[in-house]
Order: sequence, then structure tokens, then C-alpha cells
Amino acid sequence: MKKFYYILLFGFITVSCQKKIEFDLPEVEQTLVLEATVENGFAPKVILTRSQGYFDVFDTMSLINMFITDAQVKLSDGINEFDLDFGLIATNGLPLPGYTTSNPDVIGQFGKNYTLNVYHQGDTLTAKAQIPYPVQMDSVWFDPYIAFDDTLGWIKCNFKDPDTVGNCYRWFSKRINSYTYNYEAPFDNVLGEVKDKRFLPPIGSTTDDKLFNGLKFDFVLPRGVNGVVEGPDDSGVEGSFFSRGDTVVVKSSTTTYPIYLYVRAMENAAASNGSIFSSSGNLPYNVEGDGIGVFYGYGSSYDTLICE
Amino acid sequence: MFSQQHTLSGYVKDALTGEALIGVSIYVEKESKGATTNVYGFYSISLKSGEYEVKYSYVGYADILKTIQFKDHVRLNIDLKESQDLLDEVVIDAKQSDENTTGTQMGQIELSIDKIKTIPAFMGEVDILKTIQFLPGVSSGGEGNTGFYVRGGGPDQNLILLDEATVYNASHLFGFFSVFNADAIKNVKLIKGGMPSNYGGRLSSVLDITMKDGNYKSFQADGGIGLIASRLTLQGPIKEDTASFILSGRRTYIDVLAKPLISDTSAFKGSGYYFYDLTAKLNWRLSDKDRLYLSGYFGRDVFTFNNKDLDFNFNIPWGNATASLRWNHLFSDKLFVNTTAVFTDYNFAFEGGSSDFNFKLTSGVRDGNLKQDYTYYHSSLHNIKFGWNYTLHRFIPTSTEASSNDVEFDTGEKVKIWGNEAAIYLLDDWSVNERLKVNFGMRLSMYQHIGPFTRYFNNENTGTTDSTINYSSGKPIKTYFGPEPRLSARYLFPDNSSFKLGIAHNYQYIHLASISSVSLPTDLWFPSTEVVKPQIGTQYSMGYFKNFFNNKYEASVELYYKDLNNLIEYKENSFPEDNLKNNVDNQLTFGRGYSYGAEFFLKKRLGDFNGWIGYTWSKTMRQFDEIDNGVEFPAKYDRRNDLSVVLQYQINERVNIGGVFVYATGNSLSLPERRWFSAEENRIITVWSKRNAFRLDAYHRADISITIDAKKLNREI
Repeated sequence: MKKFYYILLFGFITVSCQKKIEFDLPEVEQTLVLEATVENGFAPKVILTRSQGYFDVFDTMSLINMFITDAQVKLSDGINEFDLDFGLIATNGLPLPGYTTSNPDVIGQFGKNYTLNVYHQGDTLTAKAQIPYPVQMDSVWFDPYIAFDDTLGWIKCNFKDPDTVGNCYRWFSKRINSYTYNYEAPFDNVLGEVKDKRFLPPIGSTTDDKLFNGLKFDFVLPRGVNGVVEGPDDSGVEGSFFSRGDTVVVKSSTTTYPIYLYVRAMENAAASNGSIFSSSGNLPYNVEGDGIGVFYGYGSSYDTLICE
Repeated sequence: MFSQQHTLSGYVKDALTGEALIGVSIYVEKESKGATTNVYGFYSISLKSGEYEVKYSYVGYADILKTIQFKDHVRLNIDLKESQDLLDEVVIDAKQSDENTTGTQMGQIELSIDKIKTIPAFMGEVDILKTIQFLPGVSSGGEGNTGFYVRGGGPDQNLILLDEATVYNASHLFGFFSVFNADAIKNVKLIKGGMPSNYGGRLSSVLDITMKDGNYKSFQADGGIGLIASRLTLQGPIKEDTASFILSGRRTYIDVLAKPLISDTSAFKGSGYYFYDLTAKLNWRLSDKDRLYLSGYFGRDVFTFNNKDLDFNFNIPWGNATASLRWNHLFSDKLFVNTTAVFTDYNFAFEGGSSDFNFKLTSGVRDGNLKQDYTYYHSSLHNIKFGWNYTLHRFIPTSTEASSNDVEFDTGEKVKIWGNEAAIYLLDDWSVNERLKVNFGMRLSMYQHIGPFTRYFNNENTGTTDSTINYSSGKPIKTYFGPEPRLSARYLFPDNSSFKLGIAHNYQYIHLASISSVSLPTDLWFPSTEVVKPQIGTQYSMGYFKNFFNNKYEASVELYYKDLNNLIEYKENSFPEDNLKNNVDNQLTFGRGYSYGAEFFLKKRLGDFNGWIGYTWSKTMRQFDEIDNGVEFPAKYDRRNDLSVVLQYQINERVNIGGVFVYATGNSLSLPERRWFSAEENRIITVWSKRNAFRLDAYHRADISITIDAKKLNREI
């Protein structure tokens, strides 16, 4: 009987072919891009790059050349202004060329407002960010997903939103334990490596509190993704799940409305890349002047759990 | 001494089925006077005392010649018989079909459903909306899409009427099929030029679709099994020659066919898609002066997705429902009135979630509409129409409910926006002399946004609400008035060609806001408020019309310029959830547009080999202060060249070959222009070009079809 249906279904399938569509893209002027972060307990991090043509070759040289190393970068905390120095900074688990300072007076503090001014070859960029006070999770626990077996699961969080409207959040997780076995190539040598080298946000990591102002509720935190870099266990059955035995640090960050808008749009663009439902708009950057970019401000708190 | 004027009036219907015939020509050669039947099959013509030969003729029907002695008003109902001989058809039709040159209306095209059925159709599904896209000045929304754009206007600027009920979303399957079941449709009229003042509420066009009445004489069942859907139509008399019904339904069945292929253990079990629609109509001829029509449409699309592995599912139902009750009454042989009560509803829902999170989003529009349309057949020089129209609108822009386990999230009150829309109109189709005919009219329209309503004033930096204004139920919040003058005129040259010009000024009080890059059921109908002003459009058009070879060929050239104001778009990076504790119009940005073009049309109306060639050259631009710093950009459907060739060849009585060729400039679109690497997110971020700065390659397509009339085959067997 099934054969009959397959034959019938075949009737609906038509032969199709694809035609390559070519566009003549004009040369466009590249622009200065700022990506900076202030966070409680950490020194500021600023990365300056130059945008590239969408179809330009992306290789090691172009990656090296896109970083701007000769800018003047000043950070103000509303009282004092500090110069940030060029050097290698730890972003994304990797040391990258950027601007920071070892001055302990510039370590991020709750409630402070920061202004960043960047000057480079006649171009000026200005951006503002705030480190809001954090909201700690009430509790976090491992919730096994029994549809497979009980070795995989998500993290569940119980959270109480303060009864003041306008709070915005972003949540991350980081597995600090190591892989106990290898995967298929190219991940056939990951045994013993720490699973996550930085805090990873899942898609849909940000929200404002319009829906739940003042409420206490549970929510599911899927495992985060490292942007476009796929890890050994990001695909297959383990994708988006934590494993029993993982030691996970959950980072709960409060942020500001412009950062919520930016991250929401950025994650939506990443999730719907190529979809007809996506819009072709540019992201709502919070940088003013001769360029584009984003200046994040996070007020973070941390919880650690062992998935068991 | 003046001879006394008398009126010849009546209804014309099909002798076999009793179906009212629309657009039948009634011609008195001796006086060179003519009339046509209206949408209910009624006609009225004024003549002096005397004896006349009156000819009733209609494409595909044998003509009837009546000799009438006029001493008094004469009421004459006519039954026309279908012509069996195609050669007869040519002869009958050739004499009187010069309405395109002699009428005042510009840019009006009527298509009979029989004609539409012989044009090649996507997956064999006859589709009215796809057929009108072959006409000059009408662009398609994309491959296989039923969305259409008329002379540079947006898809929301087309007034789509089904038996006088507004249809808000005319598509099934995300735009691939129209909601109109061709088996239940009698006539399709598209007005893309200056619309006469009895129509209003939209800027660009009117698509007026008339349903069949149902067979008054005998029971009839028609059905079809298609690749996509199967359909069944039942019609027949309730009381012979007095009352009839028609009931027609369609349903897709890919979900039913696919079901056995999905195993019980599949994570996707329960996923599927289907649509169905039902069209029904009842008619009563209460008396010689009164007729009653009750017609309705109900259709639903349902898309369901389950993924048990990821503990995720959603269900998306959407569809239209319309009902219209109409009462025709003849006050006298000269005064015809139609009173209509209409209910229209369109709604869309998205319900989704997982085992411990649920989310529901609904939107929709519901109208209650009451109107009266009078036609006064004053004399052969004046044909006067007047009437009024009132609509109570209720819009649900987006309503959201969400819960996590037993915690209900605060999604605010269900937002409903209420509005009163009203209009009065008067028009006169005036034959100034044998050469000059003028159709002038005035429509006065009004829209009032009324409470209950909450206006939010939100802080752009924090997203929080700074303040609100609450309006109580029924309280007027904002009222707009719109004078809408309409004028069209025709000058007939001695060679029976004509020059026409038209000016139409229109107000449109409702808007369609689209959050995605394509037209989807998620698009929101949104009314004018104190923030959103009514759309205002002015169209100037002129054209030269000529028929050749005894009206066998029609040709025309039309030029137009259209100016559009108060158009809306969502601001960039708007999301549906932004409507929560906010007004949709706070996320909109406003702009203007214009379009101009030239349309060339050549049609062979008669004979075994017939069809048309339509070519349009046009330019359509938009300008919004908040998009690309106010620089104007081409509309998505801006097409410099658009060519359609539709040909049919009737091999014999049973077999018809159809062919379609379409060539169009490619759609304009935005493309990624630059990128940058986000070290913080480990992602490549795209920087897009200016709006619609690029263009796809030209689009061209050729379809061929063969239609075999099984009914006629059976008859012979």
C-alpha cells in the first residue's frame, strides 16, 4: 500500500533546475566598525575593524588587515576620561587586536554610564553604554529530556523579575568541564579540552520584561552556540542540550533597551538567514558618527551547577 | 410637439439555467440607442412613442430581435439561448461589442469565467487572480503568487469584492492560490483606471467578482479532481424559476495522501497543511419588482507543525468568512435600488509552544456593512447613480497570550480598534452629444476612529510606557473627511475610435502593514488613527481606443500618472511582539509614492483563434523619510517592461488549446553589500544595500494547455 502512496507522491514532484543569478555589485566604501563591551568586574574591551565587501575573499590576511590598530580610544565613566591602549585582548576566548586598559579604576561597576569616543584618520565614533544592576537567578537546575534518555537535558531557571518595568536581560552558559571522549573528524582530538571557552548565548538569548514584569517564573535555557563556529556536540542528538555530568556556569546579565533591540535583531538575522520571512534591514546600531557598531553594557551575576 | 418618452425595462437571463446575464447589449438601431444589463441582469432604456426593433445580444448566445410598439412603459424579461454554432457567435458579437470605445470608463476589463477556464493554470487550478495578472497595468506579486499590483499601487489598494462583500485576504497556501472557486463564479470585472464614484475605500483598483445564482431550471452537479484540490458544485431550483441555490466546495488533500507515509513514531507526526473553502448562494425572485440574494464564503488554511524531538509544535489557521444579503427593488421602471447588508471577517492565528511554554498570537479584521445603491435611468442621455455606504470596522492588530507552566504572562488587554467608515456618492453618465460622453461623480467619505482605545506614549530609549490616554467606548478619537471627485470623458471620432481621459481622487482609510519581505497572512490590516493618516491617491489617465474589422479586434493605448500619499511601512527591526503594551502605529513609518506608465493592449475577441497581447512600460517609486535618509527607491514591484501574450485556439467544439507567454523586468531587491566580523558574537554581520537597489534578471515564462470539454464529449457519446 505504501508503494502506491510513494508513486502517487512522485506524481507531485516535478523536475526542477536552478539557474545561477549574477549581479554586478558596485564598489562600496568601507566603514569603521566598533564593537565594545563594559561589564562589571572586567576591564573595557574595544575592537575596531573596517567592514569588507560582502563577496570579498575572507582569509587570514583579510582578517588581519581588517583590524584597526592606530586609533585613539577614550572611555569616560561620567567623572573621569581614560585612554585605552592598543594590545591583544581576550574576546571570544581568543586574543584579538583591540583596545583596553590595565588601570584598575576603569574596571566596570554597577550603575555607571560610560561614553566611548574613537578617533581614527578624521573619523569619529561615539557610543554610550550602561552597566545596570544585576538580577540573580533564584535557582537553576538540570532538567533531563526523557524523550531521548535522561543523559541529555536543558537547564531550567527560576527567575523573579523586579517590579520595575524596562528591565532587559541576556542569558549565557559556559560548560567548564572537559570532553570525555572524541567525536568524528575534525573533532577527533577534543578529549580533555574544556567544552566551552567562553560564555555562549543561545539563539533567543535576550528579552525585555514586558511580558513578565514583576513575575516569578521558570524558563528553559538551551545550550548556547558559539556564533558560526560549530563545536563537536553542536549537531546531532547532543545539539542544544547539556549532558549529565556537565559543570555549567549560568551568566544572567541585565542590559539596556538599545542592546536588547540590537541583540534581538542580530539573533533574528542569524536564525532566519536566507528565509523569506527575514527582512533586509540593517541592525539597530547604538553607535553615532562616521561608522557603525555596538557598545554592550552588561551587569552580570553567575550561578554554577553540576548537571546531575 | 414633443413625443412622450416611455421606458423599456426588464431582466435578461439564460434560458437554460435562469442565471441572470451581466452586460447583455440592448440596442435600438433606429434611434442608435443602447443599454446594457447591470450585475443583476436588469436593464432600462427610454424611447419615444413608436415602433422599434430591439435587439438583445450577448457573447456566446443567439440574439433576439423584438418588435415593440411603444405606447406606454413596457416591461420585457428576455431569456437568451446559448448559441450552438460558433459561427453564429462571431456574427452576433461583432455588431455590438464596441463598449470599450463608446463607454466612458477607462481601464475596465471584464472577463467571463468560461474564458478564464481555458487559460493555462498552475497545477490545473483555474485561478481568477492569476489570470488578471496577464492584463496590462497589473503586476504579479511573484512566481505563482496571487497577490497583484495595479498601476504601481500596493496590494492593499485593491478593493476585492465577492458579491459586494470585501475579501481582505484573497489567497490560499501563502499566496499560491486565490480563494475564489471558479466553479461558483459568474463574472469578473477589474477597474484599474479611475474608478467611478460608486466604488471607494481603495486607491488603485476594484476587482468586482459576481457569484453564480444557481440553476433556476434543473439540478446540476459538477466536480473535478485536481492535483492540488478536488471540488464539487451542486446547484438547482428550490422553486422553479423563482428560487435557486448553488453550493460549491474545494479541499486540498496532500495532507491526507502524505499521512500514511509518516510513521506513528515519527517526530513530525501530525504535521501537515490543507485548505478548504465553501461558497454558497440562495436567490429568491420574490416578485417582478423584488429579488433577494443571500451569498456567503467560508475558507480556512491550516498549517500544523510538530517536532516531538525538540518538544515544539505550532498551528497556524487563517481564513475569510463573508456573508451578504442583498435586496433588489424596482421603485419604477427607471429607478432600481439595491440594498445590501454585509458581514466580513478575516482572522489569522499562530499557536505554538512546548510542554511548558505556550504562545498564541491572533490578528484580524471584521466589518459590518450596510449600503444602498440607486440607479436612476433618467433618459437615454443621463444614467444617474447615487447611494450611501456605512461600515463598522473592528480590527485586532495583534493580540498575544503566553504562559509558562501555570504562570500566565501579562500580555495586556486584547487590543481592538474600532472605526466608522461612511460615504455618500452621486454620479451621472451623461451623453452630452453623439460624440461627447462624460461620467462625473463625487464621493464624500468619512472615517472616524472611535474608542475604546488606549494610546501609548513609550520612551524610545527604555521601551517603557511614559503615559497613556484611555478613550471610552464610542468616543470619537479622530475623524477624517475626504471629498473624492471623479471624472472621465469620452470623445468619439467619426471612425468610431475614441479618446478618453479620467481623473480620480481617492481616499483609503485602511492600510496593510507587512513585517516580512513577502506578502503573507501575517500582514496586518490597520486603520487610520490619529497617528496614521488616510492614504490619498490621485490618478490621471488618458487613452486612445479603436476597434478593427467590425469589432473583431480591440486596441488601446493608455497613459497614466498616479500619486500616492500616506503610505505605511514598518520601521526597520520591528517585531510582532512590539505590539504588546504599545500601539502598532508607533512602529510605522510614513511615506509617499508615484507611478507612471503606458499600457498597450491588442485583443482578438472573436473567432476560433483569439487572445490578447498586453504590454506595459512603467516606473513606480517610493519615498519614506526614515528609509535611506529619505532618498526615493523603486517599489518592490517596479517593472519597466511587462509583456503578456494570451492565445487560445478552439480546435473543435470540445478541444481548446491555450498558451501564455509572460516577460517582465526582474523584481527590485536589496542585497547584502558589506559585512563585518563580530568578535563578541563570533558572527558575520551583514550590511545591506539601499532599499531595492538591485534587480533580478528578467522573468519570462511560457505555458501551454489543452482543455477538453468532457461534458460535450459525454453528450455525443
